[in-house]
Amino acid sequence: MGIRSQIPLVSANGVVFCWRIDLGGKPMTEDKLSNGPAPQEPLFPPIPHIEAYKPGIDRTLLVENLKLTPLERLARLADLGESIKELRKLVRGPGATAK
Amino acid sequence: MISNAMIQALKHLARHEVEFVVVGGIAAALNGASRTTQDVDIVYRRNPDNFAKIVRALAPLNPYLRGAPPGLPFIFDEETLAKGLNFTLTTTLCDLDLIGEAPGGGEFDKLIANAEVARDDEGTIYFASLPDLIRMKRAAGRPKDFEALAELEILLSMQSGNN
Repeated sequence: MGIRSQIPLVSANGVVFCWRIDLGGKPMTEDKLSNGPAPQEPLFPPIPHIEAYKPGIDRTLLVENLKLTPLERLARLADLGESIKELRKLVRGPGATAK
Repeated sequence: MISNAMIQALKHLARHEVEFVVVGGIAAALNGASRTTQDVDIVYRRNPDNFAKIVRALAPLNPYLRGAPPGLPFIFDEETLAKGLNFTLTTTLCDLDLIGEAPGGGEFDKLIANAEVARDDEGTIYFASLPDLIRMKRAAGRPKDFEALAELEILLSMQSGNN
């Protein structure tokens, strides 16, 4: 570990931070020293078997959904559902009834 | 799969002034989740006035107990609602679960306090907030919900700007 220098910084809302920087200039940690709000507890403590699924969730889909109104989100999924129904009918052939 | 009939069912209930909060997969979709679901789950206010509204709204949709053999005597009236709590029904539009009290979420009064609102020309629909949905899914503890829960928790962190 190299020699570190400590540089006090004051943010716009008056919170004082101290950045410890190694000789390469890379920030190592950020310590809140005073006046800041207490760190917020997470609303839900992490559950390992749920955390394990998170890397696999497609966030781009969620970002797109959040651009829509709630009813538009629902309508979009309903359209998808109706399209799948139509496709199933095609696969089963004419005269087949949907399950 | 979410269908247009499910949306119609919700709007139908809203038009009849039924007091309810959408929960489950539909509420997750309304909050931005990309997953689909097979039925409509609602938590309804349990009082005589709302029982009457529910019965009036569902009468034309032929409600029947889901999974029960056809032909069983089933009268869906205010008394049935008053004596029961949770009902899993089929209707001519879609499968519909009427929930009096949701584990982890509580009753209507508790859910409506934090509920989100979806509004259009045809009416207003209240749906459970992300934190309430997460609480309910965590309380249910079903392995099939783990991935959906992960998605809801990511949505919550996106809403709070932590992602």
